[in-house]
Amino acid sequence: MAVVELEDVTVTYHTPSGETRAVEDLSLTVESGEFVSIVGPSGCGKSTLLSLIAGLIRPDRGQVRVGGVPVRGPNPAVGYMLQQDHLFEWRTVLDNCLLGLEVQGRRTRSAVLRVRRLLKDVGLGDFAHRFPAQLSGGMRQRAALVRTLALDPKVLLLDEPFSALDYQTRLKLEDEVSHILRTQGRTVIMVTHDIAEAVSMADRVIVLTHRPARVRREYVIDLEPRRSPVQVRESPGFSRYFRDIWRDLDVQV
Amino acid sequence: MSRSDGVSEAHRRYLAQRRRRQLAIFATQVLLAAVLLVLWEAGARERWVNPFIVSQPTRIWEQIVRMAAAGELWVHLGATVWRTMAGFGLATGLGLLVASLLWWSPFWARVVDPYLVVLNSVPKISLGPLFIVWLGTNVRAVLAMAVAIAVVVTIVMLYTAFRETDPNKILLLRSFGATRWQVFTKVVLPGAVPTLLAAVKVNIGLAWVGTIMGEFLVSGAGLGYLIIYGGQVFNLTLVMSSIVLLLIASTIVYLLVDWTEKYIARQRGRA
Ligand SMILES: Nc1ncnc2c1ncn2[C@@H]1O[C@H](COP(=O)(O)OP(=O)(O)O)[C@@H](O)[C@H]1O
Ligand SMILES: [Mg+2]
Repeated sequence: MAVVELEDVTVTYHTPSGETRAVEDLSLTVESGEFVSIVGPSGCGKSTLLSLIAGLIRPDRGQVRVGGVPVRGPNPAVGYMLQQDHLFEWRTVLDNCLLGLEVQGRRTRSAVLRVRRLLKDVGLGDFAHRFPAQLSGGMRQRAALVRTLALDPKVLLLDEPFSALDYQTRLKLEDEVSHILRTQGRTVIMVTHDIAEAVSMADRVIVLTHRPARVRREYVIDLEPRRSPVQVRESPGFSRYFRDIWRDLDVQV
Repeated sequence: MSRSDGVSEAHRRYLAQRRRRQLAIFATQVLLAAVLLVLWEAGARERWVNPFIVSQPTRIWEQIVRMAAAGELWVHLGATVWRTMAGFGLATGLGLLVASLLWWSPFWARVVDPYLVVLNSVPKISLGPLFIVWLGTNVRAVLAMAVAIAVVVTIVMLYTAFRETDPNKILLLRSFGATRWQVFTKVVLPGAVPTLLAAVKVNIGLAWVGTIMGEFLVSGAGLGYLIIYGGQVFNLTLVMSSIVLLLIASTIVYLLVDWTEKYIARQRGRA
């Protein structure tokens, strides 16, 4: 079943110095439980796509549907995780993770318990009452993930979620996050500029063209048996996907 | 260094030296004050300087004791402190309100901007006669002076802080479906707390200035009134005494504000 559908979507930004067409006649569909990665040259309109799905901006033309319903604004069924963690320095880790629930008036005792359990799952159980300044980069991004998962979204949008982290931490977090999201059976759309990250984590990789973004090519990643992203990087098929996608992107530069 | 393995000899020496240095600074500060006071007193007694013009510490002390005994001291001190606090509260509250409204309506913020620039640059003391005519020669004119001098700075400081809120933090909240009011209360306002505390410090200082200026102009009580009155009747001891009282009062208030600020910073996990 299709959970996210974009149909001939066009987005234009207007600024005093001119207009920028970020997305043009783009269509894509994401199935329930699927993990899709979107790669493309920087500035091609990847974040714009996620903002569309999150209901933060409207298309000029075309339609965006989540769960079969046209998107009219921010939707509790969609969770958005940005490149930086954007934790509020004046809130404890727990209070940061409860932010979305608070905004939606759903901060109940059972919700708090659930969030505490999530924190424990990502290894932040002992840090619930610390402030973000006391956490490492990897821990902060884990907290940001919990903040997103706290709302129990059907669809998760990740915008270059690991790009601010060092290599070691990134690999480790890719493994963890991929494990958590797959166990929970979430539908995930992850934007990244890291081809290896895209191939190792996703079921399907969508390569976009230069701005304005259109779908250039799609790859169904078939590297069974599906193991952790770190292990996938070692499987023989991996480098082939990597090379093909790299060539797709390289051609355009 | 972990706490369990004890403190090394070198670290103990470092700490001891640090303590000695702090002690030396404090001792010198006290000594400096003492030397100045003694010089002042001796200078006045030995007629190196004219005590009629510069007064002298013992006379100031006697004056303050006399005023305290007559009950005058508390009347004047109380009037000035009360007006300063009221002016400070009004200016801060009004500034916060206007800055919030400007954040709420970017259109009006743009409209009002040049007016704020003009108001900010005009010397507020020049408005004194207007306040007297409009509000009468009473405490309202003094308060108006205190508010006038502090409110524009507050508006500008807070509005700037509001506007500098990380747009991505606002985006995050909007993705949760936050209303504009929630964006304001959850990120814009709490994010501006450090600026608010800085504004409070500035405002306290400006409220003293405004109050004293107001008292120069209209009042029949307060330290500003005593200073002007003392100057007019050439009672420099009265002037000096009032200034000393003002010094003490403003220092105490400043320390209170400073302590509150540090307390809040600790609460927010920043200290
Ligand atoms: N709010 C905006 N106003 C104007 N132009 C924008 C805005 N957001 C993005 N753009 C422009 O649209 C294009 C696509 O942006 P974006 O979707 O952020 O790209 P990506 O995430 O792929 O790097 C870029 O050229 C960018 O400059
Ligand atoms: Mg982007």
